[in-house]
Amino acid sequence: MNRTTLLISLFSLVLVGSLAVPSGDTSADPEKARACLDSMVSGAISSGMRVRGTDIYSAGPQSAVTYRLTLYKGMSYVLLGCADGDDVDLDMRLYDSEGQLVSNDKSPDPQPFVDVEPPKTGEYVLEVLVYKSSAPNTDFAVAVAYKY
Amino acid sequence: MPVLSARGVFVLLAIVSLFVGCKSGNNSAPEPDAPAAEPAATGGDAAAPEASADGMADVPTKIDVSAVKEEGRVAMFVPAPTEFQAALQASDIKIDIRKLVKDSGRTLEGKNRSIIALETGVRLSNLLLSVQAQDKTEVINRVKLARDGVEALGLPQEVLAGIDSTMKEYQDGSLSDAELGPVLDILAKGIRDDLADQADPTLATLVEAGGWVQGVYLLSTALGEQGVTGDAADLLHQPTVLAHFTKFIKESDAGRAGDPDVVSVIGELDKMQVIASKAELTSDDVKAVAAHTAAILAWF
Repeated sequence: MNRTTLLISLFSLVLVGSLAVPSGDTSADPEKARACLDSMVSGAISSGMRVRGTDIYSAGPQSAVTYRLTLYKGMSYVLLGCADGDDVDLDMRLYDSEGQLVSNDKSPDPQPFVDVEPPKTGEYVLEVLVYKSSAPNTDFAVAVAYKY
Repeated sequence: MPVLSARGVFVLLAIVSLFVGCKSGNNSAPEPDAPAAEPAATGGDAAAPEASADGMADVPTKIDVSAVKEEGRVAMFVPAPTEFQAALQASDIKIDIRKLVKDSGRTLEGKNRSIIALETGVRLSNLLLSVQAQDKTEVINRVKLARDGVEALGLPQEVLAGIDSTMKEYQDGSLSDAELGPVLDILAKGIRDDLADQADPTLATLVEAGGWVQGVYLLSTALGEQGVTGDAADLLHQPTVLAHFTKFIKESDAGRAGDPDVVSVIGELDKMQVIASKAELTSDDVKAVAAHTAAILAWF
């Protein structure tokens, strides 16, 4: 399964996911975030990827949550995120151990994803930012998938 | 955590083929006009991002990551054992650690819960690594071994039922070899989540630690025997993961209580930390890692 096919699958799932999340619901809902992420993870799996892990967390508007990730050089990783409502702008940024930006998704939607082939083996920092949300608290789910 | 239906994981694929969308603002490389230096947010603290002219958040090209080492979430910090094999393949290194997986014969009887959790991690690791590389009988046996560990840790019947139904689908052929791997990834993650939510959060980390030690053992043994260093040995060079597990085990109830088995494990981890502090691993270092991880596994 090549990279283009994977990305097409994920692009498609962003669209499917946005259809699946009802509009106008601004209350935090971890199950909604989880269901949305499950759809994206399914797309990754169907593209020949395996899943390292997932997490569900929450943050207020203009707040970020950081994750420590160990990534291997040469691998193809996809970092997936999904917020609990379609009015949310959820962004993702990946930094290396020196704090240098490696990749990001700042598109104004609730389902960011970042694909990356790490330049070196080591620790990275994933920043998940609730950039815009009408709710005081936004639940989101994230996952790390890799090509196998 | 609800256990996904094995077939359900693949249902969306049919829908996906009907849609092709597009997404803006997705970048694989830093943007040249992005502003520099913004402190990293941690654990939900406000990041106070700036807006750019297009209404999207400006993305700093550099942040201070020092606080993240202490406060960043670690739910996805540790690589899965299968990532070792994937990384070897990605680097075109002709070593297949999946074929090196052997069941130890260690039992769970008379062991404390910390050791059972570590051993369960080893069993899950063996299963996940070998699922697409060994015959069906061995895979089914490894599922049983992992299930025994999960049961000994006291997870609820619904978790065991999820394992059983997955195995039934695998045995009757409705779940293929290729599909089983990803399904077991999700099942293993669900088991760790259930341990964290329902049983004891520390056990979930110990399961993860056991799987990581087994992966490191298999890889270091293979590399040591073939005298391989370079990028392959770099996969073993994970000082922050090692420090994460060492600190956790030292601060666990069994570690603080001076449980002799756990104290022995900590001793080996400390020796590995000395090796991990080097800039690069030599062939002798790789062999030493294999010896230390073998010693750790012997205490399980």
